[in-house]
Amino acid sequence: MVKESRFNLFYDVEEESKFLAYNSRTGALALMKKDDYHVFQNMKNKNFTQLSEAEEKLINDMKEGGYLIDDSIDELQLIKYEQNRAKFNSRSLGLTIAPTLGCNFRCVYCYQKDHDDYSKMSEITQDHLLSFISREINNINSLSITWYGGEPLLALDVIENLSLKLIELCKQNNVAYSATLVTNGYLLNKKIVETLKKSNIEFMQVTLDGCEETHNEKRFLVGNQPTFRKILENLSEIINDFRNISLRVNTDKKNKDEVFKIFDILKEYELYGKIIPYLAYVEPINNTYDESNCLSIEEFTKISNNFQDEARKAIVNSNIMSRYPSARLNYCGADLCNSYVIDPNGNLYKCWSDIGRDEYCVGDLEHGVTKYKQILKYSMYDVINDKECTDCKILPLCAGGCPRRRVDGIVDRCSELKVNLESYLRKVMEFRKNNKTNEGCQTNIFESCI
Amino acid sequence: MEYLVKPIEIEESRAACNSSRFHDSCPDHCWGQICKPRMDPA
Repeated sequence: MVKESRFNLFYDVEEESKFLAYNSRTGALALMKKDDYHVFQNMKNKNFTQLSEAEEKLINDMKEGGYLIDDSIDELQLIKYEQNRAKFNSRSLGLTIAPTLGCNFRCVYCYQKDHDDYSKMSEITQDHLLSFISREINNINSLSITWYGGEPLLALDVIENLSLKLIELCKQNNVAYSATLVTNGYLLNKKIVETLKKSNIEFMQVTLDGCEETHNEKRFLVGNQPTFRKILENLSEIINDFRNISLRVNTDKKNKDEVFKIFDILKEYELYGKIIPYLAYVEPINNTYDESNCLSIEEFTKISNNFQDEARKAIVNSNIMSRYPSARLNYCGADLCNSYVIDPNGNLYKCWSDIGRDEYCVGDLEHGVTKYKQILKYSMYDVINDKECTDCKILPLCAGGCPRRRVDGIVDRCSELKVNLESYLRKVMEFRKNNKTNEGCQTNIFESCI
Repeated sequence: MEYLVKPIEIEESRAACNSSRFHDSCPDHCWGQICKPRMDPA
């Protein structure tokens, strides 16, 4: 016996007399003739009994995409099982390391503190970090590092020193090593890029918040000096030596009307098509930014959707599939057992927004995890006990939303996909219809970025 | 049913991913840039 999945969504494709059928748990997407859709509805009324041969065939077709499932399966329990499997998988170790919390910027929305403390991670703490990872190295098959801050390039020597040792440690133990960097971009130059490449950093994120005047009002140096031109000049200098750079545009009510000018700015600095801009949502984390400046998720999503379409035009061989919505088994490092954020003193946290705040600390490098309050709050949340979430047809796509927002009691924490899923799936439909191979199969789902 | 995306494609891309950390917890806006390198089979 079968039953209908609770995560089916059907969108009318009127011009083809079909429905676009999507299942948010399996990620299946299919075009279904309207006649078949009506047969399906009729079968539901008969509780999938006394079926004709044609109905049996349709059932088998729909089972492949998970639109119909074995009626003994509780899909919510299945989601819980898959999420737990991901959350408590200890084969990957993910560390976000702040080699300093000092920063040369004073961004208006920054949620951190201790920017005036320019001390770097000491050699003793670096040794503790290496010991911490060494204790895990035999249990993992990949180590992912994100260099973070403060401004991490203020402690480039720490990044280089630790990277070389970690790369060697991973090599000796046959563990895959990867690293990324989050920087404000002010200090970037060719020489620094050489060090970053030597440190196996393969991707970096830089931020630019709109046009010159707005950016400089939001992201200025300690002494209030502007940063806009310097960042763009630096990116122009390094772009041929370091190609994997994304440009984050923190978006709120103050710059929402000018974010599209970013494309002209990139053209002016010959960065268009080389650096990929994306919009990020500004939120009042740790009550450090006036909430009245922030957009709602819905407002933000509408702007972000159009921005993505524009950004995609800049990329040769762009592929909409890179952002295809599929089940999210966990939300972020906060709800994973083997993921930590580390401050320069060797304190451990679970969320980037928690760094430097004692009340959120979960332990330290020397002693490991000793405080479980935050860990339990972030990791043990059971989405199937949340009525609003279990009633939602796209629950598998968001895993219950940002753990930190959840803990803080923020109501507006639903995924952007709640707003833009249908329009995105319609774009995928057009893309896939136009990219069929001779065998009727489609192009590889993630074959090119964007 | 004319399938445009089959579940097996998603499972394969997940299996090819080096690190579950970024693929499964890819930030909404990363555009695959953070997780993309891990989607390519080593």
